[in-house]
Amino acid sequence: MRYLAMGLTVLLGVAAIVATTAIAQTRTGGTLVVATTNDTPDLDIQKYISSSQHNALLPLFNGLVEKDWTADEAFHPIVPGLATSWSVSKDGKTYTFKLRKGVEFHDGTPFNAEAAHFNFQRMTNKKHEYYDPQAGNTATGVLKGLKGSKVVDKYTFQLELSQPNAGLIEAMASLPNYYLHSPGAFKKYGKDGIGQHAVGTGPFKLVEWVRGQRTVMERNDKYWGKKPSVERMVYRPIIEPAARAAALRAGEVHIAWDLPVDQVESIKKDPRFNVYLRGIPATKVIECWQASGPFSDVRVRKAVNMAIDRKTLAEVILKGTAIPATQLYGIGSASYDKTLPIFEKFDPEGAKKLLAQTKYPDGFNFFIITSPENEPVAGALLAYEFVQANLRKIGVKMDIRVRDNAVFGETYMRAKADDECVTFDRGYDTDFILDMGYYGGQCAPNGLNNQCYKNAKVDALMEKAYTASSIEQWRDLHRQAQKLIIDDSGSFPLVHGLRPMGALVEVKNWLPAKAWLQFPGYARLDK
Amino acid sequence: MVAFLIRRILFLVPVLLGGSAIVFTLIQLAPGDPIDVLLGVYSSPESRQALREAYGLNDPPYVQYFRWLGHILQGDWGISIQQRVPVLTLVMEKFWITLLLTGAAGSFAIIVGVGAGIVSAVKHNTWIDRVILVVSVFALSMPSYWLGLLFIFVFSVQLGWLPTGGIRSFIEPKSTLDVIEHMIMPGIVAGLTPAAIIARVARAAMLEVMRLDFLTALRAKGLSEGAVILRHALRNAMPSIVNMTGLQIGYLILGGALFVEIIFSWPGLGLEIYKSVVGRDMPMMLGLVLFSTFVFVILNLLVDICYRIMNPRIQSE
Amino acid sequence: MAAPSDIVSTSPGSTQGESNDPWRRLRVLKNHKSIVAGAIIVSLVVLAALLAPVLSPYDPIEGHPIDRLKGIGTPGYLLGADQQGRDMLSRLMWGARSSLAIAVVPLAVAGLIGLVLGSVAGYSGRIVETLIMRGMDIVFGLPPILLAIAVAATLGPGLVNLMISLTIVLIPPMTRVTYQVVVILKEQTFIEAARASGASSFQIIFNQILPNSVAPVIAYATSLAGAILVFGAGISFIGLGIQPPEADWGRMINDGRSMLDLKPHVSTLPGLAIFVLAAGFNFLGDGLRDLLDPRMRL
Repeated sequence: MRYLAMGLTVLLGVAAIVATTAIAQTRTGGTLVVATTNDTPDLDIQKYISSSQHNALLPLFNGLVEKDWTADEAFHPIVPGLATSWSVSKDGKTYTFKLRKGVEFHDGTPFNAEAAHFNFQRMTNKKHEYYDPQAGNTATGVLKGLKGSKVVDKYTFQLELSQPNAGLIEAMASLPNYYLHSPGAFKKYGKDGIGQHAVGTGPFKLVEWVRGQRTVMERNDKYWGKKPSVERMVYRPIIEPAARAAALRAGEVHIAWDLPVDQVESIKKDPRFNVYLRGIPATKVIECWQASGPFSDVRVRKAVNMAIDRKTLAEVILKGTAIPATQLYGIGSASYDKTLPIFEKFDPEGAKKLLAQTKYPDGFNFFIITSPENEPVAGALLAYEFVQANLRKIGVKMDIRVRDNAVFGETYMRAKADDECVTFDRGYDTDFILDMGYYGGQCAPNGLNNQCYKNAKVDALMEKAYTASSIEQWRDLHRQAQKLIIDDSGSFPLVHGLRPMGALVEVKNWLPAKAWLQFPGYARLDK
Repeated sequence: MVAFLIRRILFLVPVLLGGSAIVFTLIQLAPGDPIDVLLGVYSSPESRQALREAYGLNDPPYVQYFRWLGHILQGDWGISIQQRVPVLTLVMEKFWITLLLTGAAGSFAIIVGVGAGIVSAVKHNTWIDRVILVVSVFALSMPSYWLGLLFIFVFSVQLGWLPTGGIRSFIEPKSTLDVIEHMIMPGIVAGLTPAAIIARVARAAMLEVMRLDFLTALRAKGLSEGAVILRHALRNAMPSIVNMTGLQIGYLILGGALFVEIIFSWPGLGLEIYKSVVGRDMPMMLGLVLFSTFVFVILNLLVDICYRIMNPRIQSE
Repeated sequence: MAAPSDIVSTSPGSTQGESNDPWRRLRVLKNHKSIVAGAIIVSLVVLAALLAPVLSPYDPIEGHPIDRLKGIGTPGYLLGADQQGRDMLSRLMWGARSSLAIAVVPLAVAGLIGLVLGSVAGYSGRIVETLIMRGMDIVFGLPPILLAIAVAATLGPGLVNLMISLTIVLIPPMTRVTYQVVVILKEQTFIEAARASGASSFQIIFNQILPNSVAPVIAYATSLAGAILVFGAGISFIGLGIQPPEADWGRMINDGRSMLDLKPHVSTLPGLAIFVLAAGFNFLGDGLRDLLDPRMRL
């Protein structure tokens, strides 16, 4: 008995100590708790283009130009950030930014042209003390021709390009990897320490980040822009959609992102909650290696596209949280072409006949690599299992392999096997990302064209677009290119997503962005 | 005793070597050439060869093994692919959290298991005994990942009594015992199977002891039945019970709690293993397995030593 | 997984002493309700698995999207339909196949390997014994659940890989239990007699030792089957085992997880199936153990 009592005492003692320390950390008051889909692997906002990383860090940082993610308009407008105005030189190769005065980073470092210069040197100048190759590749990979930066005077800053790029402002506003770190933080924590310390100018300051568990943020009372109403905001990453919904239902979180498909209806009916279905620029798509193997044959690609029943998928399987895919751009993207019909008519018999003309009359096997937690369009696995059943009817066997998003990035960038496909929610909050996936000159592993799709006419249109005089012209050329890709069955788009987000009714003044990036920081808690 | 200790500790060496060799083999077997990751598939054969040399990948496996072991002993366990943080740091972070859950589950298992075992033995061959036996079989057969889902559904979503998961609340805690509240459901679900096993062993051990004559003698001396059972019979049955309890707690920390952590988002070793498996983060996963092996081996040693101390009969062997 | 030490003292003599009268044997069963209960459950599941191609109303993989998530008792779907509109009853019946395979095949393979290794180690003694048994101790020193998951993750998903990983963790306990039985057997008079009559070690192992150790080893294996089933289905539940669209109980629980409160049947039924079959194995295992070793009766 003695031993038993001893053991129990020790166990309870340990439990009590941990419990007290944990409670000591919890503060009450205007704290907004948000169940997000995934945590960020580190706190460096510039290194990767990853929605989970960008979302986690968005409240802490600012860019020179930004998009207003809280605006309830057809497209989120570009707004001034740390730059109050900007202009382009005649040759399109120099962008001049007038910077906001009197702004301080969270550590007290003043914001000025030197600070902006420091950040862009980190991305473009290989000789710079704090140059980071990963941040550099990301920055220059997206912004074709980004060459360097220059301080004109204390509050005037220039970006230099080697070739004109009509989409520069659009990309910089939409992609937080161009947001700015405090130069002081680099000096204090060093090149490697910056990933563990987020020091920006944003509306929230970082209090505590416990990897995979929580990010605790505190209102930045010195913020230069609109100040949040809540005192604190906590991001709690919950990977499993069902667990997110359960946490919302149990009242453990105020807001839950990306509810599971089959919960949307019942949560909507419950008076305790509000559910929002917002179209986002994301198209769920399967992309297969086309440099060799079955998918190099356009007839095979067409047959596969014809075998997929997109209407049933969107309306029945995904319960209206998506609409059948008509194109590559997603709803909510400025380039979305409303005139297009559903992508390839559903015709399994025709698909079979078409397949019979190819080298694979009895079908073939292939596999997809998927990372559901990185796909904001709800019901990823439901959708792929449905497509699997669709394809089975024409003799094509599709294996589903689930991977986590960090490793997935690695898969995405490399050359693939003949029977290898990856899934995406293609698109991002700028149209910029999409076209690169189909540019022949950027075939993986040397670029973002991960399926190695090649079409000389498409390439020509995209090259022309880089030198376009305006973003409208740029978009127009890309829409033309997209039509060619559709004719080619260049990939297998499934649905356009409507992102289902839920919140307790006491959360006011919050509307989810029609975007991958979300900023719930201006929500108010009504008690 | 000293000889036993020395023998037992010496045996740790081959076990740890063997265990780490198995983990190392798994690393080698894992799909994907590390060079592909570093250079990309289209790299030239020369540059690949040069890198292989640089990383020592052309050395015979045993050389590579000992080099790897050297890194492990120096605390260099590699970097997690997903989280870009040293594996050892992460593992130590998560270990304490799992230990906390194990504490909850272990307490539940010991209280319920030993209690049920004693009652069952005392009421041997009555309906109470039979009910306890049948319930213990049910508990053994219960998939924890399924029971956990049902618990969340009933106690959190429907009744709203307990939190659905995680380790603490973020909105105002319902009570000062916030962490304890978060431990109740995972603790019970994880503790159920160990409780059943402990109950069965406790019952068997008690029955064995209760057959002995000295108890009758004690009763004849006028000792109350409660005193006889709790003070004398239980003490004699204790070594087997402690032995099994120790083993069960070992299984709990190092695997049994895995499914429960996943279901209840308990941020310990189990959830970490799950994430590394799903994400094919092999350095992280194998680091976790290696660490668990160390803990498991040491725990087994402690259990053995306890058993020895408490059971003087073995010493004379 | 239970440690093998809880049934170490399996005495092989008990089968020998019992009468060979078949009727008496059946009457003995009457006193072993747990064997009967276990045997009935397990045979029913085996029957369902075997007859799945004939009896199951639908193809387990072919979905009818229009009927998705239909509840229990919907005409045409006795046990409802899942999230792809596949018949739950058919999927449960087909899923019984992989569940039985997970529970039985690794135990059978590991049991065979364990029988051979354990008999050789136990009978020959000395260096061979030390080599085999210490080697097993090393593997046994690893946490079994993690080892199985690590092996499964390394080999990649799939039924066969899952069975291989389970087999690997089962070999040491199966070897150990055989070894313990053989060490006791070795001292028995009929082995002495065989040795005196000039039989070789090989003959003794194969003609005397193996046949006499099979029964207790089977009893032990049966007592593990429930735990293996629960664990193996768990590996599928976390996505490492059987892959979609194949029907598997562990996988099916996961499929229904996101709609447990709305359509509980999708996740509850396969969970119940695992629970019932595991209970069947556990009752059978307990009963067999009682039959073979009355001293250990629980």
